[in-house]
Amino acid sequence: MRNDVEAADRSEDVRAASRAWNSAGTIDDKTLDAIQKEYPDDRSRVKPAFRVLLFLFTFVAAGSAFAVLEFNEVPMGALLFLAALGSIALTEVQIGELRRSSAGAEEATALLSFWFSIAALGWVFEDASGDFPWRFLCVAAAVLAAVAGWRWGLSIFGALAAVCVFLALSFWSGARTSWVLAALAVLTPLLSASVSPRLAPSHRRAADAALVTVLAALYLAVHLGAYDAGLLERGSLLGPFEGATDRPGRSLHIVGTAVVPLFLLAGGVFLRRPLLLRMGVVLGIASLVTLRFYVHVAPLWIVLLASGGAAVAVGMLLNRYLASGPGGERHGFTAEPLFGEGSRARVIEAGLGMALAPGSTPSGTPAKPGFEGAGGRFGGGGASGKF
Amino acid sequence: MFDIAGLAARETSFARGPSTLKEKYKPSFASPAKYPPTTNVSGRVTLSDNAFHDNSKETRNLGVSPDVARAVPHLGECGLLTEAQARRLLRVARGELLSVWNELRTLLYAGVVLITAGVGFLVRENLDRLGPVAIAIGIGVAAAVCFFWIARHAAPFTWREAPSTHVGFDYVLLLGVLLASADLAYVEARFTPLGPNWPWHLLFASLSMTALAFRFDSRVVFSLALSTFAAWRGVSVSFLDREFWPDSGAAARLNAIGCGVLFVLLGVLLVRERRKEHFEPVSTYVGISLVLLSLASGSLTDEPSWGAYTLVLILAGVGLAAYSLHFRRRFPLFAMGALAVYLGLSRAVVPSLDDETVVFLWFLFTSVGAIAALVAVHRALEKSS
Repeated sequence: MRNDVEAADRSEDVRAASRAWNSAGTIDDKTLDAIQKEYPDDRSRVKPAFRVLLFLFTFVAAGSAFAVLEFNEVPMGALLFLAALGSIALTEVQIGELRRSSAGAEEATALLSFWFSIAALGWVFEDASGDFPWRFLCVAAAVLAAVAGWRWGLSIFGALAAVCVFLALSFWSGARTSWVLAALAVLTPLLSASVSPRLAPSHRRAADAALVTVLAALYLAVHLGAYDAGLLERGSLLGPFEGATDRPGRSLHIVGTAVVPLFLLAGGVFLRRPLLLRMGVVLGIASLVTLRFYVHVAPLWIVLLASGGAAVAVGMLLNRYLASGPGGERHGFTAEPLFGEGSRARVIEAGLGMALAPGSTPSGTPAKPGFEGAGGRFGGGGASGKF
Repeated sequence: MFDIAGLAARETSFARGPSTLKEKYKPSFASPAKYPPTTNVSGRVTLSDNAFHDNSKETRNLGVSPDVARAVPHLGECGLLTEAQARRLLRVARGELLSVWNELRTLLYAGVVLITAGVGFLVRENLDRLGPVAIAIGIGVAAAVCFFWIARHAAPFTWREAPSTHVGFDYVLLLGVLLASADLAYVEARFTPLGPNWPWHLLFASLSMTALAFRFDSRVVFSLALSTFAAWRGVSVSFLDREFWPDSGAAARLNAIGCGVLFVLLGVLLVRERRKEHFEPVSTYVGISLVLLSLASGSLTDEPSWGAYTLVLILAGVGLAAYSLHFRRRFPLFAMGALAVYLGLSRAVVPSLDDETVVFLWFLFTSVGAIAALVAVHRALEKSS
């Protein structure tokens, strides 16, 4: 990453934090202005809506240019290399000379350069029978994503690099073991990298993105359902599975499915890392669903009511416990919003209601359908056409 | 005097020992003051290439936001933050004070969804055993318990944004509303009091939800009320319901446009009358989404009316983009308008192009033109602000 890009990245981190402090009412507008002057920004940034539009239109323009050249019978190999080099050059110019950051267009060209590079490599190494060397391409893609992420500081490349590494490992016969070993090997370095002061904020975010992928891969490798389905024993993720489900080591996966989320929750609390806490909660829910799949302790409605009631009760009790502490906090955790949570929640809140909306009434057909009661399908306004 | 060293000595660490923390708080943070920003010939502010580089050699753990953790003491020394502010901000930046506000709300929302789903299965699997009256009464009692809790914890009514009294308030209210609506729908389905006019119970549910949303200041319930109203008019705006698109005939489209316009007008009214102004974005965004999606749906069909839909889509997009930029500075609305214009123009032009190469040339040149226009608009906005 260029030094000026890294400096701007660090400065923007402080600027973004000060904007969150201001929106939370911790500092006034005058102080915000002073902080923004103290940490100036020399990048061309755009509003999020413009960023989305620029990203989309850049993708459409590049895809159309590629299609036009292909229709004009430009050789595919040359075209792919031309497209890859062109995208790389465009990204460099935008991030370097034009000083663009989070501006949509340079992110689109960066992703396109990755995609075209992989396609170009695939074209070069395609064998006579028309098959692609997938294992090699996955390794190459992992390296390219890591280099792109390092150079341009886009966090999505962190996740892409990790995904490609695990895809490459899935072609080995000992894929499951190699997934676990690889995940455990990179876990500590990624945890350190995601908070390392040496790294630029965008590199730390890339490490976070890679960390999420690695934890998901680790969970998948030890998950009982994935083990029984032989997800990693197929030679490739999409290949057929002909093995038996009663293979040795099944009990280890039962333990793994239960223990990994607990470890993540404990790690999140101990290391004070929100990312680990969130992953622990999400994977914990996945483990509970797995438990319900294998062990029918009660009818589904009891399980749903009990787990829903437990979730509400835990939320309420945890809130009361934290709020009753000195200063509304206990052990460094608070149930109050700090900076930025409130404004994000306002956007999400509107979507929450919509997600529970009822189905439509059938226009012009007022005949009443029969009761279905399909597990909360009636939940929204309470009255869909299916109720 | 800002006493960052004293602050360091007084702080305690939860994850690591105090001695480590003291070391970490040493006032050795490099600041941009060492590397003042310069202005280049084009007048743009430039950061020195060396800025932050002394800090980047620092390997001590500075928490989850190391750059912010470095900046806070510097801002305190500059007099921009008080000691109390700096202490709290520093704790947050270092991860010593974490908020689980979002996690708690997610947990409560998940709980509400699970309970609602559980009630659905309870009714289906125990209908014969319990009987319809017992089920209706049971769900009603559960809803009443939720509303009783809400009544006890509610803040006094205000037309402005009310402060939240409890992290679970919105979710218990949502649960009560969902259970009451489910009960209403169940009664309607089993006992048929409205007969062939059964969809009207959706209007009643929507109006009741609106009243509850206003009384208890809940955006979640307000958005549910809007989508229930749309459902009454035969329009499903649920993210989970995909029935809208495949059989979206002219009647459903016109109903959706009507609902959308009504929601936008409701938003205007809320702002003009200064009544629950913070509900206006929900109303406006849902309304405009309905209008544009309906117009796009009509434009993409092969029906004879596609030309009219396309023309209105382009005009609506132009109007929305211009209005959102010049009057409200709402950039998401601008984006929606710009996309509507592009879609409408492409729908109007592309079918008349025979050659595939020409089609892609159209997308190539119009996309490049759109990028240039967006950059120009953004620059103009920056200058004007």
